[in-house]
Amino acid sequence: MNKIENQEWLPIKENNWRENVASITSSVENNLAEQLIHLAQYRLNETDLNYLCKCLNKIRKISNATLRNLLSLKIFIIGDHTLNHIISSLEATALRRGINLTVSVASFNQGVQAAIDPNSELRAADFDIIWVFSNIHEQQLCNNSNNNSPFGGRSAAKQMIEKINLIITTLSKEKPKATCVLTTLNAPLGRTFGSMEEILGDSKAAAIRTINDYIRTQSMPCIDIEYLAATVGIANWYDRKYYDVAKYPFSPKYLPLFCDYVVRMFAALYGKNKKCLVLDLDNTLWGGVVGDDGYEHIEIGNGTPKGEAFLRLQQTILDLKQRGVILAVCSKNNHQVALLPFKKRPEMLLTEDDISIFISNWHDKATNIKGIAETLSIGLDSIVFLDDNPAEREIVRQKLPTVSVIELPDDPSQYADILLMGGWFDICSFTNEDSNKTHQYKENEQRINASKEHVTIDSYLKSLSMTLQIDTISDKTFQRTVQLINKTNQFNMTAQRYSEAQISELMRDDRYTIIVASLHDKFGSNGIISVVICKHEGKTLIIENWVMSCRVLKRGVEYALINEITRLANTMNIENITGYFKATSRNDLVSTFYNDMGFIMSSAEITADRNIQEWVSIPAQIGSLKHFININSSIK
Amino acid sequence: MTIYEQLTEVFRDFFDDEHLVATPELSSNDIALWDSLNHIRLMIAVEAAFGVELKTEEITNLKNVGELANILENKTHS
Repeated sequence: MNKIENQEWLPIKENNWRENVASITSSVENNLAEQLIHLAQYRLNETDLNYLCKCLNKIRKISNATLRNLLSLKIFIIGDHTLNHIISSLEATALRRGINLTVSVASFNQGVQAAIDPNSELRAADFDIIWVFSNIHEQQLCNNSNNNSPFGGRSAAKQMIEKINLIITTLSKEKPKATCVLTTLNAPLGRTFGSMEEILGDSKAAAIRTINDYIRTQSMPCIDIEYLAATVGIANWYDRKYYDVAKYPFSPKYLPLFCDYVVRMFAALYGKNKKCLVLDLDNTLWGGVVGDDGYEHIEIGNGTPKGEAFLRLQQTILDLKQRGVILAVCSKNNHQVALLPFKKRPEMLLTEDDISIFISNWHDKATNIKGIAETLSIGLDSIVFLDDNPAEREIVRQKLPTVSVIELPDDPSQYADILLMGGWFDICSFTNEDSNKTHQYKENEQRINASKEHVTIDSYLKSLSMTLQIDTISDKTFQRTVQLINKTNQFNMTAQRYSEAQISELMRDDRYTIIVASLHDKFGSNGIISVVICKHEGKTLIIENWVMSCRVLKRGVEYALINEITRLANTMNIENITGYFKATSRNDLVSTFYNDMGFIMSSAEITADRNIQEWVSIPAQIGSLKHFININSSIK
Repeated sequence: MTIYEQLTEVFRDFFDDEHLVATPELSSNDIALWDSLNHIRLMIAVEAAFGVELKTEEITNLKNVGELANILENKTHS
């Protein structure tokens, strides 16, 4: 067992883990979702995962409403091998990322039929995600020789590509609302041609490469199983016995790892990937304790094995930061002492500027991490914590169950791999906005400091010299728009999520106007920070959903946008504007939003676990709301 | 711990039944949940718990727990 198949980034489960799982089903409490997420954080084997799923199913029956703090997703898996055995493990693993996942699978060998038969379960019901888990066994690859393709590779690749193409074109037509996810295939273990295998175009290995090239260039989210199998070794990945006995697509040993790997993609698709990495300093970023050993004596940099290990970790962290992950420091140290290595040791790759928030004091780390989340306006479930000290890890796990705490082995040479292998920050698309994040959060800190210096809020807002650029959605802003809609939890009026496919559909629909706003101020650009989805219906303009990034709260952006929507409504001869609010566990922030904007409640449905409100305003009667932002609108 | 005690633990966890006892005569006829799909998963759990690999035949032709215990006895002693 190596560190990967063992999932060493997850902590070993406590002795009473099973009892803890059992006890949550007997007393259904308010923080049940949190407890489930917490129990799923451990290193679980297949039996554990089945047990957790069994309890999840019980809770679903007793009181589905208690699970509403989790993101509900329905997924259908198309594949040609046995898949039934992965359902419960996948559903249990999804809890690790805060997802209440319901899995349906195509029957054995019925992959294509599930997609093209109009009466299939897949076609009859609605799914959020359809995962084409294409898999091909070596036997299928080699036994179709014909004259053009004596070894079968070329014709096998052609057939497989045609099959995948048929499935995805059918689904994009028949299931436009679902997000289609693809999978790469594994290279075969045995090689007829030895080292010549990849060079020969008609070989099995060449066939897999051709198919994977096709899959990777479809601009669709893709779960790279080829890479996963390579990390554990394909000799281990394939299990001939369980393929023969039960048509398992891969060795059952890797089921927990496989599920974790797959769920990361679903999490990323719905903005549930992590956003911030909180770092300890002593013995995590360098060897030794700066306060005791002195900054001259801590180990960092080339020259000593330990120093190189920490250097590798710092490079890995820096790479994540370049990709848009926000870095924070949380260390028990005297602040001036903690900064010394950053100032005085040139070998340090990480600089003070890379760290968006630097906290070094003697308070407990749970309290400090809470403070970091508040300052950055992100949820605790967006945070990953890296600390070499098991006691600190334990206290954070206990006090903040939704923070992901990485388990670290004793040897620092493993830290960098362990940090990446957990896949906490995995993404499904990449935009330029992402890499500017740290910059933006750093600017946010400066803005907060600026707000302390100003006496009145008005003069502070004026001093920011803000400009709001308002446009309708375009191809350029498409990805960031979808991302913002799906990542925003607090300022989100209805929590309605939209897939890329759905947004493309709305863009083609004349009745819809998708307003995209980006904010610039004296500290720099905040990028796209708000999206409003409007639908024009006769004399009514319906605001279907409205999301705004919390980075720009209390800056008057919402007033500016309401004014803009009102202006648009007036030019379109609209008689009233309707907005909806649908309460979730996290959007309390906007519960009085429409009221504050001068709308009047026209109907409401409020019960113990539902709160849906409809608000109306008459544009002709609305005066202009006061704000301090220059408006630049390209919408006519 | 004897092989039967170890098997009892695996069976209890797997079937989520605190009263199960692995006896030589116990077979899939006695446990409703022990169907062909679960049989495979059970064998995987046994392999993991004992750190052994069963052969294809040993999985497909298994009669009862007594036979399984004999197989495990031989594998863990060699």
